[in-house]
Amino acid sequence: MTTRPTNDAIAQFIYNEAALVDAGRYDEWLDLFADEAIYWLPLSAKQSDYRGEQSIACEDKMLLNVRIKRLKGPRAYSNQPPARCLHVLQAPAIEEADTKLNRFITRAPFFYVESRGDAQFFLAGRVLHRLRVENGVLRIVEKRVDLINADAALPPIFLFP
Amino acid sequence: MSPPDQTQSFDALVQPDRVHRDVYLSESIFAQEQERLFGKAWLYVGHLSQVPRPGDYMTLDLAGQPVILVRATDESFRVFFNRCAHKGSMIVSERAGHTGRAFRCPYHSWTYRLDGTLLAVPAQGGYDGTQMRACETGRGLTEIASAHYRGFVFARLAASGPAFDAHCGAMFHAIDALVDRSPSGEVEVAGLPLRNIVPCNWKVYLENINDAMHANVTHESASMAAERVWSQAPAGVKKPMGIEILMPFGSDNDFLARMGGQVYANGHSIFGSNMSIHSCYSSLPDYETAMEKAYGEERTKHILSWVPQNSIVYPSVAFKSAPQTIRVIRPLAVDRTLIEVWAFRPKNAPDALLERTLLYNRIVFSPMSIVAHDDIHVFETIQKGLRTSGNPWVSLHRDYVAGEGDAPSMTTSGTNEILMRNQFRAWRQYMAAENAYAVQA
Ligand code: FES
Ligand SMILES: [Fe+2]
Repeated sequence: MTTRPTNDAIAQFIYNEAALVDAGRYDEWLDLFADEAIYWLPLSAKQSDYRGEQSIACEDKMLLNVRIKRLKGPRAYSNQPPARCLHVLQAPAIEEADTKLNRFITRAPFFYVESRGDAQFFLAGRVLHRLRVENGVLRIVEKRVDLINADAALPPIFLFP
Repeated sequence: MSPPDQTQSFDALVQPDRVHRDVYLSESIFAQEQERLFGKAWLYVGHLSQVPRPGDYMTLDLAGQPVILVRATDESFRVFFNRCAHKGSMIVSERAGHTGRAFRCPYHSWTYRLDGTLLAVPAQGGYDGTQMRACETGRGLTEIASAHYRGFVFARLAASGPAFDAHCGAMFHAIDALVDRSPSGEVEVAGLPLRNIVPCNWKVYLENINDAMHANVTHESASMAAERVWSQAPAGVKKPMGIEILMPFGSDNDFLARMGGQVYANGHSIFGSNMSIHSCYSSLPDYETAMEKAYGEERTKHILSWVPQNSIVYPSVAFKSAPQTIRVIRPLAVDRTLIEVWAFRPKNAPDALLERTLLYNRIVFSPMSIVAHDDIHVFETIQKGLRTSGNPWVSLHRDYVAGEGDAPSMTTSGTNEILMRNQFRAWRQYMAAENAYAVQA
């Protein structure tokens, strides 16, 4: 049985997660993910499984690591000029807090703005975090991002909504 | 660009070994392409697995015109303009749906049978003694010529023109290469398409599909990052599919040349006619067993050994046989193109096969693709770079030999830019219907 993190601690964790991406501190961000974590952007809010259907993204920690290493490399032309992003999150609702299963699920509506050079676009949606406590600290087991226009024709999304 | 009153011939813009920048920049040429090229060519519509039952439909735009693909009876399908015969309202607006036995217009409730004929008009007495039934209005939904090969449906907007088999038949073996990968000889669409807005002229994208020499340059960032992460993996770990997909983007120029290329009449081509960066994926044992059971050992070997990189049915679709996926090219504006990416599930095959396709498409063809991001960056800068004065030409010289266009089909090295020149030969044929255009500023 895990000690239940306070609602405030859970909310602070989620705000911090977004802040690390926005600050470009990608390695620290990646450390927030559990080893078998999944970062998933489905094409539809109805999608219940990333197997069998297409998704905008569905990455394990290794592929996220590739993504981060690539962004830091000198030949990531799409990051010249570098893309920047900003998450604006509503307070996350705690949908489940099960200390026995060590499972904490939250959902938060968000705006996401990405800019690069003179161009800027925004996305909006809901983000689901499935968390657990590992050695006394929270870790992401699943981050699921449902864009409200996931099925629309989208411009390139260079960073991490 | 050129002054507005200037008239040039398409021959002057498309030379055998180079093309003028106006073909990528001119709005006037874009408008004419919509009419002369996309209006006349056989364009990819969709797959029959998307409309399995009578009354199932899907909608899309072809060259800026809304159309409906509908399953009419068990065997037949039809493609109509999505336009009510009454006052022009679109009949349906969902991307896909089921309409039952008839379509009903949301404006004045005219209804149409699945074969497009007018079924009923409310208060029809009002048309007694009028010309309504005798003219176009009375004919119902306007049908477009359509045909399919192994479930892949194509349509031609123009009322007359070459038949589908005659125009695209040379590429049927490339479609076979995809469908035959299914032990049951059947594939179906898996989930929704990935939909990308790409900020470039459609031809920049289509040429890139055949561009061997960019891969290890533009995609160095992705293949190197994969290599670095993989080099840090503990010994003895099986190479993950994602790494297996990313690393070959760094293949050297010698490999790219040996991949081979094949061009056909009407702009079609196969890049990687000998092999491709997909050839080196690890085998999936359960899958091979299923294939051998269905096809026998010899034929299985034959099917699995041919893995072209990209097979283009010019100008609207590129097939990959392994992974089982297609890219559909829809020009939206002179500098904006919609790319839709559909994944196919081979029926009766182990899930791992589809998983590889889904992973490939996410990594390489999604709006969040870490591979395509660098392509898109370059495509966007081409639209800008070509605006510079001084040199108005785009080079297609690599391996050019005078007279090469005389043969309708030929096999060559994977790095020969004939795969692009061949697209422009078809382009010129389509566009030259009236061999002049007025350039707009
Ligand atoms: S426009 Fe369709 S019924 Fe009038
Ligand atoms: Fe590329």
